[in-house]
Amino acid sequence: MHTALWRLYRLRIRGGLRSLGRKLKSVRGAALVVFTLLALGLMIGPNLVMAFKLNHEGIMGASADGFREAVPVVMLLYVLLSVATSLGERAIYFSPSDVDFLFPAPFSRREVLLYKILGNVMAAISVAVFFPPALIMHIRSLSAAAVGFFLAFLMVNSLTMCAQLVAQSVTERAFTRARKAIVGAVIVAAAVALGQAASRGFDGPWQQTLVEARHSPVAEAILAPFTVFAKIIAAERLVPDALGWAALGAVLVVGVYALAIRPMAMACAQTLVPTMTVTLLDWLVFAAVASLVPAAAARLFVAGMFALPFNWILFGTEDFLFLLYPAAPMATGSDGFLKMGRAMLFMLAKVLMVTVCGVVAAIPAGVVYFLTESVPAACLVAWLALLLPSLGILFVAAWAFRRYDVSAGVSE
Amino acid sequence: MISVTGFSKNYGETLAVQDLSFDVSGGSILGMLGPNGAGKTTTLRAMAGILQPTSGRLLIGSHDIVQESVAAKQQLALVPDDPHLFDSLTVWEHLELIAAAYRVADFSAAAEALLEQFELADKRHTSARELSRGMRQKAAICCAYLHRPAAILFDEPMTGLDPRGIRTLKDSIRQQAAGGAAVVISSHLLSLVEDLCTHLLIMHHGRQLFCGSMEDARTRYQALEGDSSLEAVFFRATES
Repeated sequence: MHTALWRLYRLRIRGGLRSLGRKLKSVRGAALVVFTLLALGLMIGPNLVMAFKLNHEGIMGASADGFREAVPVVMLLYVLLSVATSLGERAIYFSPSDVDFLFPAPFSRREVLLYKILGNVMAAISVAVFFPPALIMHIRSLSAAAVGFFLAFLMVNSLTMCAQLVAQSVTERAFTRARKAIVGAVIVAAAVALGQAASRGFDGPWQQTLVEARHSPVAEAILAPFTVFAKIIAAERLVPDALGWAALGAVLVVGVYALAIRPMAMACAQTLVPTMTVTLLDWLVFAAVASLVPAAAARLFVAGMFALPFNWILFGTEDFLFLLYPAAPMATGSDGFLKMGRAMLFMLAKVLMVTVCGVVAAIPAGVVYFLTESVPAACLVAWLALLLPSLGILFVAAWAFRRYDVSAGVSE
Repeated sequence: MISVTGFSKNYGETLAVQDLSFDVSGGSILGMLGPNGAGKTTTLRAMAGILQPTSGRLLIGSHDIVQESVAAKQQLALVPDDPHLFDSLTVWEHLELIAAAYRVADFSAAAEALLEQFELADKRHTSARELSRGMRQKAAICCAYLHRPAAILFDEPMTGLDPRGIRTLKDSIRQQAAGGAAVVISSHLLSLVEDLCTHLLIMHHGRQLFCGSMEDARTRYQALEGDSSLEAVFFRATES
């Protein structure tokens, strides 16, 4: 990042402190600062006293295990809530002074974006400083919890930002559809998790069922990325206990932020999220049908296998077409009539694309079947052959994303 | 120094600017005139790299503002209409930031001179939130001049300035042009444009009605009564 942007951070921190110092000179300002400090003290103080007492008795962090179970769920709910309510908001807010001073200055857009993202690091530091003392009853090590909260904050922030960036670069209808699909997938997953817990019997209290649902394979899989941060927060010591998890957490955070900066990664994320969501739904439906009609299990397995590349090609084509010819979907009158025609053309293009990819996959698969007479081998070759156009779509979508102008077409 | 070719900008279905082409050489001052909504600010913001053009090429020096944005912007300064400064930073800190951004070595002497010129010397340690509208305008102008840009874009630069400030700014614009900078001024103040500009660009509904020297404009749009004031030229151009 440009040195001037680092200097801007420094100047803004200095300016903020100077402003605080000036406010302290007035009675009203001083009273507000004292009140804020008192409120914070009341929130943290009793916890600290209790923690020292518990630590003295050797039972500090007694509720850390329960807290560790809750953290991933809270993180997931926070991200889902943000995704569900964030439509229409800007992923990254640029103040008028940012626009007037940073955009015309000799910085690349990526540097300016990075500058804004690093602003989140400042917020994460304050979270890391404030939360561990306030939640000291539920943690075992202040340093491990500070690192854990720091990374967890960045993780939910980066995921939310990515979701909002995707929302800005796909049509409102597509995003609404994706949101519905995500919420639907989570409800289905929660139902499956509860079902798995219930299959072991409802002997215990309902809390026990919830705990078992939390530990079902589906819930564990969904919460896995967030569990990393929970393990850091509730670790006994930062070194060596949480070091590996902290490294993994940092990689996850950097990876998700990279999605927002690199066009290729952005195109990948844009296609991957709806593809995986719809594919998971497909798999759940296929699994349900297979359990009812065991004779169809083999065919459904093949269908499930091809659902992934099929959905990838479908969503990749849709992203590419939208990035090339962006337009708001909601329109009435003659404009709506034109949009309907446009939607039909897009549909035709998608069908054509899927057909072409199907032919591309069918040719080598046919050759393999002719040579081996093995259906599994032919299916495998067809599946592998579909990877080529799938990758191609990713490249053209990344190209379209690079030339995409966010001010065009979607603001109606 | 500034070359705009076939520039168009759409906001969704709305056509803000259509097929605009003009050049501004070093030492020239181009006045952009047009009614509200003519596309002047959009053009300036696209030239400054804030907005992406829908089509066309915008060169600053020999650098495309889209393809080589950093190199293009290195030679450019923009004084926006109602400039927004960073509230918590002082005037001096803004100059410090600009010096770092454009890598201006030993900027202190130049910054001091600019603050003196625009009567901001005693406000150097005042934070932006405490400045009046006119002072913020002056601070933005000081920031724009600090790195000796080869191309300077002004959007309604006189708004909020007192009479002395207006005179200082006019003199400074002439100095910048005399020093070889290409200057573009968008303004509704016809007297300012008439007084300062060597060339004229008249826009209406996003289209270019005229681009050329002031003399050419007067010749083309001279009224029957022989009134060749800029006001007469402007109304004949935009109402014909």
